[in-house]
Amino acid sequence: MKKKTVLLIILSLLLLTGHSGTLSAAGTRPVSAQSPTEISFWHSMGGVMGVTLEGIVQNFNDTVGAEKGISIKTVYQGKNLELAKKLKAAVQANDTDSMPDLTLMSSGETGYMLNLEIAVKAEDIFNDNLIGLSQDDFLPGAVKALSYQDKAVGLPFAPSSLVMYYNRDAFIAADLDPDTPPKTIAELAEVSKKLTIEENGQISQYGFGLVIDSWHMASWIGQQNHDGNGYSLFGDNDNGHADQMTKVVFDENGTMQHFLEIYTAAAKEGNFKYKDDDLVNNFIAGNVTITLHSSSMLPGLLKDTAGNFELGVAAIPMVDENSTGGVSFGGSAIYPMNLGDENNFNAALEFLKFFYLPEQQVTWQAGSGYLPAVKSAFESEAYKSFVAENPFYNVAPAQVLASNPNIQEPMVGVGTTILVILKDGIAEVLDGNMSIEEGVAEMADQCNIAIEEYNDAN
Amino acid sequence: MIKRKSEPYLYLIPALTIVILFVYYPFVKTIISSFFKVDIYGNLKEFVAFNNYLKLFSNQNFYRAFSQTLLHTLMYVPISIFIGLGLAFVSNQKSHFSRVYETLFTLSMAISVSIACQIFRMIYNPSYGLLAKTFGINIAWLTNKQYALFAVTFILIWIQIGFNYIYLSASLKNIPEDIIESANIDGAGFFRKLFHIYIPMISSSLFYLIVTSIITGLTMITPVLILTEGGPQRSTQTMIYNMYVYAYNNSNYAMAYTYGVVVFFLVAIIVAINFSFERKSVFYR
Repeated sequence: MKKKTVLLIILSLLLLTGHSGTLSAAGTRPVSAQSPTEISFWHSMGGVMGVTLEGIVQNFNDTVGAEKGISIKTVYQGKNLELAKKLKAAVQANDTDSMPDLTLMSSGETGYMLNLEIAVKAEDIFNDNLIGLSQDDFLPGAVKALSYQDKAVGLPFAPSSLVMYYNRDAFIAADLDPDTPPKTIAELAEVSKKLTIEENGQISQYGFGLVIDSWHMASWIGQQNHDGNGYSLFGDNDNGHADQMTKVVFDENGTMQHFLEIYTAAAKEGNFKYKDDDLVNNFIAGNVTITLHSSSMLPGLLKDTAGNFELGVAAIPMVDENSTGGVSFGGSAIYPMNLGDENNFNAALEFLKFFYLPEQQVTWQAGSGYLPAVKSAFESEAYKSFVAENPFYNVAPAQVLASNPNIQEPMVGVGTTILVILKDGIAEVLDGNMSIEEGVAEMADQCNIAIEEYNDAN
Repeated sequence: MIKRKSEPYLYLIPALTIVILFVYYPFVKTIISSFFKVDIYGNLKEFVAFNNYLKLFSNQNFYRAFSQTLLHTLMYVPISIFIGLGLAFVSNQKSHFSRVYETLFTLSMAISVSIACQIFRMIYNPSYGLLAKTFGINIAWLTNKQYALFAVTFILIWIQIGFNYIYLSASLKNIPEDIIESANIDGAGFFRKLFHIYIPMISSSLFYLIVTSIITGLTMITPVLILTEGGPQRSTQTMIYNMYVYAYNNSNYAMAYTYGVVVFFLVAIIVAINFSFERKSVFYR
């Protein structure tokens, strides 16, 4: 079946190129005038990101699309989870008519997409040279984040990483150099202490504020170099990328213990604000002066802090000097779907070719805060001139390009539950309700129960 | 003859279809599925008898959610009914402004839970919220595990008051004047009248409110989903919230089905206990 599909794709490609070749040679009208191909594109990008994405699609429809007779219709299907639910429902009903020709999918659904036959896998796209790019053209960490059973499954669409945001004005007010933000958690504690302002026995300005969960821990565990490989694992089977994850290993390899020893001391010294449901707004309001968040927050934060204070962006602080400083990747993937209509499938591939052009990648980055997924984009003039004017946008790429691609978030069906377990467990340790040893054991136990329950049913 | 016999059933079909489709079918399906392993696509995979139930009852989180749900219900039901009753008594004294405060008391009922939650999220915010800024109460209501459940319960009490008020005030006004008058002539004090006339006379409304609030209390989830997501440190997890997490976060439908069945029977038992009091202490006119 799979061979047949690939053969079909190749044949259809040959046909299409041959066809259009004869047409242009004969000097007749372009294909578009005869048979405009309309395809649908499901996405999960809301707000500013959605607007940017739709701008890129419109641009495609007006240029390449108009030339080749392709028109793409974007459909916002809600956030990642919503989109996944809708696609799964269509798949279960075998309702090909309402399935998209192109779809985004969060990295958590990679295992599902691997088994979904109509979703064309990144590895096949690379091997059959369907979009003129090979695996080496992409950021290795971004590809790894979307691979399962050692196969590249999804094409990286919206990679992002954690970065540190800080309030430069507050740094200056506290006699700190805003151009040398803290590089380790120990330094962060010192700086945070100096940034803390107390009024009438109440803290009115916090230095560092962050509610830690598994997303942050993926980077802080991953960047520890406990066995000399240059990275550490969160869970077994290569964080769930080699095969189904069966347990977490952050307890066995000592990385969680090591992190908590350093972090609890730092939190005490630096008055870290580690419990708050509204950190981003507190940061914008100036109540918290340093925090970590996704690089995709950058366009929004630049807009919201303008007028309040000058924003600073830097790499996230390392656990200690022995860490590599690497960060994990987040973000979604894009899949062309082969629903049986060659024209539509080729149209989807045309859009991918267009989207991975450096100019479009930079437009995407500028409007969404996500990183370009292809290496060539970073070397392009468009990128260089963009970051020369907007140096903040270079922080996440620089950090990511220097990271070991094996630093990854755990790929597991119960990701949200693990997120909550770590969030609660770390808060208990910071509150002093549990010792570090107890906390690590408790978190590992609970994660393992959740993973086991999931694996047992699936 | 046949026609006359079958006619009543024909009228039943529309209602029955809806009830069977949306109540009984899911109910039966939930019970059956709770005895199976279920994969992420919702397919039944393997019969496991009571295994899911054993797993549920051996999970300490279940007991935690159960006791938190119970605590919520124990605060929510009496307080909201007590305040509703108090307001009903106040507005039972006729005055020029009755209309105004009758409307004011019921107003909270007209606000949807999700909107009320957003309003209270701002009121509770420790940096810029009303409680912190105006009253100087410096408590992180939603992020401190000691207060979070109370903060959530308070919102629901506030909403429920309006509903309880309407019911109780209407039934208070229905009490025949002559009974009250003869009690006054006999020299009965307020509390005597309260326990021997008012409460017995409105007991059918009170009973209805108690039973429905117990059910809504035991199946509470909305403010938890919107405001706290079960946190901080699991302190606002309720039984239905845990069921939701199993189904929609973990795609573990088997455990979610099991949770659903357990919650159903718990609620059924508690409501049945209530009904056992009905014959003894509820007075229907």
